[in-house]
Formats: sequence, structure tokens, C-alpha cells
Amino acid sequence: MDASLVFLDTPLNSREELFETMGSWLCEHGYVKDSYQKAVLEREIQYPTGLRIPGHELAIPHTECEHIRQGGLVFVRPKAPLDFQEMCSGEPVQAEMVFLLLVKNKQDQMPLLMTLMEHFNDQSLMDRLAREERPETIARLLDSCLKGESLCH
Amino acid sequence: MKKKILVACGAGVCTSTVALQKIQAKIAEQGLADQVSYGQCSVADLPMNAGSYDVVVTTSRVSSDYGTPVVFGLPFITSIGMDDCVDEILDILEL
Repeated sequence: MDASLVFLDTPLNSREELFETMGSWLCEHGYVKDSYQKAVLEREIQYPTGLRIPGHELAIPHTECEHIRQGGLVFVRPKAPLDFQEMCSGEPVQAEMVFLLLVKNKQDQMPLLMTLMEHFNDQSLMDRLAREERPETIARLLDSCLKGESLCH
Repeated sequence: MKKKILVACGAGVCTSTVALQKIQAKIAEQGLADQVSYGQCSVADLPMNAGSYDVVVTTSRVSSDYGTPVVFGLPFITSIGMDDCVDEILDILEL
């Protein structure tokens, strides 16, 4: 995990714009293939990934491994919350934080998700992720959450 | 005969694996581990598979009627309301 995978106050108006902007950036920097952008949007429409936890709303978009070149976790905190839908219910979610899960190997997706989700219960951590101004601090927090899990290949 | 739980998500790999692990842990906590067996699949494969299970737990939106009771497994992802969700599953399984 490297600090450049934290994006704060990104001016974005929709999840479509998020996937377009982030998809291009991630493609240019060798993290994903051209196909990622379209695949992740289609998957989000069909199987929404929005979540509501106490005090925060977020989303964890992900797609099949075949669209990923290099595994990682991308944290995006847009300037204003983005409209997503909740997993299962499809109810509206205003995502203030978006975790793009880039999983290159299927067997890695599970530990990453498990580890990440364990931490969604940690209110003080989530509060810090929602407020912290320094990308490197967020990267460090996320890194320590995921420590022990192999993300990058 | 063992009760059968089928866990499904979009691709049958990702969030369903998380839910499956949590359900297994909860069932084991209740001392019921040897009374339950599990399956995992994608939502697209539910129509084909659901019939041979006693309950379906899904982390994705499904609207179809599979003839098998469906429980929404979001609590296993957010950990909010997880115990209620386990109770719901156990009620359906009559355990």
C-alpha cells in the first residue's frame, strides 16, 4: 500500500465520475486494465456495494480479478458524498468514503475483505478516516489495518 | 440429516465468503457445527442451486422466489444486527 492510493477531497459528482476518474488514473499507473472502468460500474449497478455503519456511509466497489493488474486498496474521500446503493437492500447510500478493492488473485480478496470489514466496526478508526487531512496518515492507518495480508503482487 | 445453508453474492466469491465464514463461526459458537452443512454460489446460479438447500443467505439484491427462504446477510458484512440474523437463520432451520 502506498500513500498515492489515498485521494482526499476529490471533486466528484457521481459514482460514474468516480469510476471514470479513478479508472483512468489507475489504468495510467498500471493498477488496472482498460476494461476495469466499465466492469466496475456494471457490477456496481447490478450488485451494489454501499454500506451503512454507525455514523458513516461508504462503498466498497470491486470487480473480477481479470481487470486488475496490481492488487491494492484505494481510499477515495470525495469532496461531497456520492450516491450509491446499499448492498442487499438497494436503498440509497451517501458514500463519504469509497474503498476500491483491487484484487488480483481470488484467494486474496477474501482475507482483504474480512480484514477491512472487521475494522468497519472500529468507530474511532472510521471517524479518523472520515476527518484526517494527511493522506500519509490515512495510508498508515489503512496499512496497519491490513498488516499481515498480502495485497500486492 | 444436516441442515443446508447456501450463501450467495454477486460473483459467489467475495462478500459471500465473508458471510460464510461469519455464519460458520456463529453456528459453531452455538454448538451446532455438526448439524449444518454449507454451499456457496453466485446469485446467477441461485435458481439452479437454491432448491436443494434449507435456507439461502445472500449479500446481494435478489427478488426471485426460489422456493427456499431467503435471508439478507448484510449484517455479516457490517456486523450490525448479526445475532438477530443468525437467530432468523436458526429459526428457519428449526435449530
